[in-house]
Amino acid sequence: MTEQTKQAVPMKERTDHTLLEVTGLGKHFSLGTGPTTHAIGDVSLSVADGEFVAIVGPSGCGKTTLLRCLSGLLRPDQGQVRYAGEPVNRVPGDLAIVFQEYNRSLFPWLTVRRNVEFGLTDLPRAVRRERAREALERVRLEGFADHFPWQLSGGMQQRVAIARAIALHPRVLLMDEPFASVDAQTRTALEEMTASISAALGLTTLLITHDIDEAIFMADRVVVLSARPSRVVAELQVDISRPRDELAVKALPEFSELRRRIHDLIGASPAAEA
Amino acid sequence: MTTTEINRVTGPGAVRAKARGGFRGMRRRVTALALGWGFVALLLGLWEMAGRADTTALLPPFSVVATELVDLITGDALMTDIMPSLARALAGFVIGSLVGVVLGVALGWWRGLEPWCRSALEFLRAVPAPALLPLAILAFGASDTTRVGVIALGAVWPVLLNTTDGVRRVEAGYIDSARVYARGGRAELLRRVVLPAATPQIMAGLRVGLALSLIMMVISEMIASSSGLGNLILRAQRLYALDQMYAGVLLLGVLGWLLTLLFSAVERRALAWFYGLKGQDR
Repeated sequence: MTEQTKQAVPMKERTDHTLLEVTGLGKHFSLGTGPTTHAIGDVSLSVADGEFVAIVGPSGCGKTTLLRCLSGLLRPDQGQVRYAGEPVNRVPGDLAIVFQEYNRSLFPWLTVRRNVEFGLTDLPRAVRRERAREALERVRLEGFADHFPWQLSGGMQQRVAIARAIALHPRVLLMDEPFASVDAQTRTALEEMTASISAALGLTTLLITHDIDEAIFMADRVVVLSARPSRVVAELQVDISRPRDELAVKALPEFSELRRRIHDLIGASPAAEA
Repeated sequence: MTTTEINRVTGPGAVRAKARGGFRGMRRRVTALALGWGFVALLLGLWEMAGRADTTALLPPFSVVATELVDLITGDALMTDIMPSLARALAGFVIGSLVGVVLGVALGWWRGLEPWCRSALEFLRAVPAPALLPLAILAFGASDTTRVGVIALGAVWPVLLNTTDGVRRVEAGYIDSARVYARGGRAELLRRVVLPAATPQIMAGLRVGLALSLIMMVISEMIASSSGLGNLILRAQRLYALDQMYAGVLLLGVLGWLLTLLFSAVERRALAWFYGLKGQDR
């Protein structure tokens, strides 16, 4: 873990090392016999090594579809996704995902520990145990290893999902609306925790969210998508130093300014197709 | 932020499962059990009275049948009829279940198989297995192998259909998680995610399969057989040994009940997570 830990590198240097690159991505959907939905129009973006990028957009703008294409879970119709220079055909080994619905992504038949160890079968048992312990400690659930996920509250379950992701010692962490299913108080605590974990581990993080405040608070850069078929409307740099404190950040004039601009950008984009 | 702080923030009653059960739940269960057994005692009492009042000798009292039942269990019938019956039923159930699970997983997993097999399966499962017994005896002889085969044929359908359904309808989110965290490919996906996720439905199929195995056992023993509980009941009827005939029926009921109880115990262990997840009180 320690050898992977990077200190905060200035933004200018980071952008030189593109880790994840999307060019001209497009995706259509046909649900059953119905008409096809043009989910993603034309999206190009790149994420630098160690960067924290948030993608925001109006609901139903194909954010989740974009994440699935980025991660290799879904094949795009047009365009290309490159991860560390290589085209993505399947989920890369050092890429972890935290899904929105923890109750459909954690395995209910496994204890918290075994869920966290799930991606580590190649490692010896003792190493697995140690990784799980370390990951659970990071999300402050060390006392719950032998519980089942369904015995925990929603916020705790999502922390198990985060522990499962970081136990993999990933280079990239993708998060799809990770805090949308938890209550507001828990959400703030989880945002702070996740941002600090991402920084401490030097992860390249991509957060998909519809929550503008969350995007600004957590990310180095916010990518704003239009309604379906989505394209990138703007990319905004968040020049607020870390570590960030939720209340302090939200009181900053830069925060309000960014928030207003993003709000206008999303509101101004054409309405979603029926 | 400290541990207690964030754990508090994540919600009161976070660890819900342990609060379940408790004294009230226990009392409710004891009451339910007492009521259930009380009703059984009442029915047996009515049987006893009706039996004593009966002048046609068609209905011996419960006490007489119970005595006969004890004689059956302690006498020769244990080895000549009861044990062979149980062995056939269990062998048929195990074979039928194995075949059902294997074929069910295959059909659920390789969806391309379905168009080929669908009509044939629909037809085969609509044919009542007892109807095949005379044919099976003609073809394979009146042997234990034939009987076990027919019992397996009866048990296979609910297991097969439930397994197929369970495998096919695994939560898409589990599959996504597996594609991110289980890198071993399709075989690993099947073993570590699909099978565990389908277990509740497979168990539901097995439960029906077990009941059908007992039914098929009795039927198979009533045709061209010289041993077993089905044969014992038929023999007793022909000899007009009504006490023994009733005892045989009662014993079948008791055996079926015990096997279901045993199955439920295994199921509760294997599916503890499922009942916990559904918040069902055990």
